[in-house]
Amino acid sequence: MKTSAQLANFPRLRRNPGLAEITALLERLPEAALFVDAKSKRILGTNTKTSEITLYSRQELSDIDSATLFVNFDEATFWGTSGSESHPETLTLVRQNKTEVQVLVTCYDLSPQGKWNLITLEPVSVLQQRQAERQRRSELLESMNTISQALHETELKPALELFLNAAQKMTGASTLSIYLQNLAKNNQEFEVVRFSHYGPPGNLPEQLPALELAHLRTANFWTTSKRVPTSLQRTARSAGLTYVASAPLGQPNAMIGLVVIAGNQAPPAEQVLGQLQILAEAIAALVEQHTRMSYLARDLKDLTWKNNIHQAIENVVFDGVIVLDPNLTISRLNHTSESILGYNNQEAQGHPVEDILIGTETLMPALKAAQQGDQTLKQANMRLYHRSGQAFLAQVSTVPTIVNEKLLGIIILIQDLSEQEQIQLQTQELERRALLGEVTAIFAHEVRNPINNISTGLQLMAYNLPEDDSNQEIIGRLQQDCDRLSELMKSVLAFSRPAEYEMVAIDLSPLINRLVDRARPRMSNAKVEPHLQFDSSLPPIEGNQRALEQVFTNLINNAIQAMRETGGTLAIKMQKIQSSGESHYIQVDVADSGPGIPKENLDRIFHPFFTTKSDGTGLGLAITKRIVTAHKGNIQVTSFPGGTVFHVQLPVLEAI
Amino acid sequence: MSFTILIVDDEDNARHNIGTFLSSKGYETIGVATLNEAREAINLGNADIILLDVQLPDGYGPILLEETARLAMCPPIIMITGYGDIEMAVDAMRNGAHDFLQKPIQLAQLEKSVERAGDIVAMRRELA
Repeated sequence: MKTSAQLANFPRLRRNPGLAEITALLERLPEAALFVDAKSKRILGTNTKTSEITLYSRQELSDIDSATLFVNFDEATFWGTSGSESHPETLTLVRQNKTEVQVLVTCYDLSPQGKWNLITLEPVSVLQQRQAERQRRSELLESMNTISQALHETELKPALELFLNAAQKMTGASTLSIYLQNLAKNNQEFEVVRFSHYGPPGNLPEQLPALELAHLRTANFWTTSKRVPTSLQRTARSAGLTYVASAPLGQPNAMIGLVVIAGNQAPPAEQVLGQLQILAEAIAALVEQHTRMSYLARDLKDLTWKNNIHQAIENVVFDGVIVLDPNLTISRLNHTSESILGYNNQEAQGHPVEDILIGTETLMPALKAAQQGDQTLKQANMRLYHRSGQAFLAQVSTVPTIVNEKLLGIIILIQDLSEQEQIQLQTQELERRALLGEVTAIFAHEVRNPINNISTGLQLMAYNLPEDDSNQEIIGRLQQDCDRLSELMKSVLAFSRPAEYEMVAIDLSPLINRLVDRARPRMSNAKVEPHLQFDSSLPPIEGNQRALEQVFTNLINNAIQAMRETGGTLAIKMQKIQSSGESHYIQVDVADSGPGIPKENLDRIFHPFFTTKSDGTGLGLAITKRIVTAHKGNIQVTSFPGGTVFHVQLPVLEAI
Repeated sequence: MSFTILIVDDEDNARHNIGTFLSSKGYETIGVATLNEAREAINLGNADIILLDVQLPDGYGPILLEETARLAMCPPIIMITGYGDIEMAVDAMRNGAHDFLQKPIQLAQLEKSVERAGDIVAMRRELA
């Protein structure tokens, strides 16, 4: 709308515009408009829209007092305000046919001198409609936002709740439900249960049986005047609702559920069905996406489990297993291959196989052939090299893994054939047998002491009571039982007597060095650094090689175990000391920088069957102590937060 | 003549039973649970006769045989062994133990053994 101020800036015209031009100008305005003489308030010109509202023709309106058009026209308030524009005011307009209509009237001053006014009329009903339309659009926009938010939800339930909120805004329905196929029931019987809901829950049923769904396979619109097809409409009618609209989710021949809206003010059927179908498609897509996601998550869990199991299997087999990528780089070493090659899994990963697995010239061509899918090197014996350069004889098999004609990887199996390996297997068997003996001996020792206490106690009672006391007979019988128990323990011990230790002169330094080397791959996996400090020229001790290996293997393993989560330092210190009784001992301190042993456990750690590990037997340290005692030595422990030290003292071999 | 018997055993009940029995026979008794406590008692000259278990919390019992051998009044030591420790008992006898008793201890045997040890102590006192 041009204001008078702007008009004043127009260039001076040679001719003034006439009424015809003004009328043409009025035609261009979007509202009904009247051109009025400010003084007389007479109408000079109008536009077609004015005639549409007032039902007066242009001629009829011409030259009448503008005030006469309105019922409750108050001149003072209407014209009273000077300025370019009056406040819009709602007035009752009397139309040509004497009907009345509410209009919003705005009056503009067209010139600074106040010569002419422009009056615009806008029917209130039109304004309200426009307002409602705007409201509807913003709600539509908002529901679109809600839907796009719903698409990003990771859980189905909250996603569908957002959908229902959006659908509620879009349709204005008071009650909305989404039904989904009841997967808990067996597949033959198709029924849907309410999954998500908006509004009073009693307005729509909780579930719909298969029989009724046949009627709901296509979009359906019901109002009170129609026949009730299913319990859906019946429930809604009982709840006092006047319309129900439903649309199936999924394909007509593979329906997965139903979306239903209901309320009291029925919108046009085609409008609500259209909206509902769009919603149904979006919901179906969302449900499918979530189903697929949950399948994927389940598959992923399955695969992770399988992968873990496979790794565990690889690590328990006695053969070395190396997994290669198709381009012959190392993907994984199992524990055995770690120890026979001297590399740990992490440091070998990603390296070309020829950097880690060093063998005779036939090895690489065989791997190249395997890369082509050829299994030529099925079980060949060849010389391989440990990281230290030491050669050993091994049986090597290469197995290309081919799925759908595509090479996924190559598996190399290595069986260590060296003598050392054979000996190790034999010692393992011996160790198992010896272990049984040790366990029995520990058990016997633990049982023997209480038997002794009971027996001496009984003898004491017999001694203190008069010889003719009636209890003497009972005590005698109990003593016989003690003797029986004692004989029983003797036979058990005789049966599984631990192998007699063959005692020889042993130098502890190389023995412990060897054990530490053996544990190196495990230490590097657990990020444990060994630190050895041995006094030079330590005298030998008298001991049994195998038994002492077991003692220090146990202590080293416990130390690594204590640091497996944090990493740390395994410190082994060896020195010659003198006991309070002038005997000479070698003292070996095995220290870890783990969390330490709680004070309440410290007294019990050497007790048989005491363990804090879920899979522990509680025998390791009991056996360790027994062996040390059998060597006439002793073992003690000190612990504090931040470390544990085991002190082992073994008597020095006296010069004969 | 009264003798003091040092009982070295980490089992409380064993110490109590043996101690009660020997007290009733007119002996003084001292009970300790570890090698170190035993050494203290011996150094104070409190032990005329020693009853010694093999496996003690702070070490190997028979080590006391060597340690006491150097003392002027070397107290007789009676080793108390279980059936698992027979070799040690033989070894102990070779190293100068007075006697050894097998668990479960027969109190009558214990009494005889202590009596013999008492004779030796008495004889040494006369000679000294």
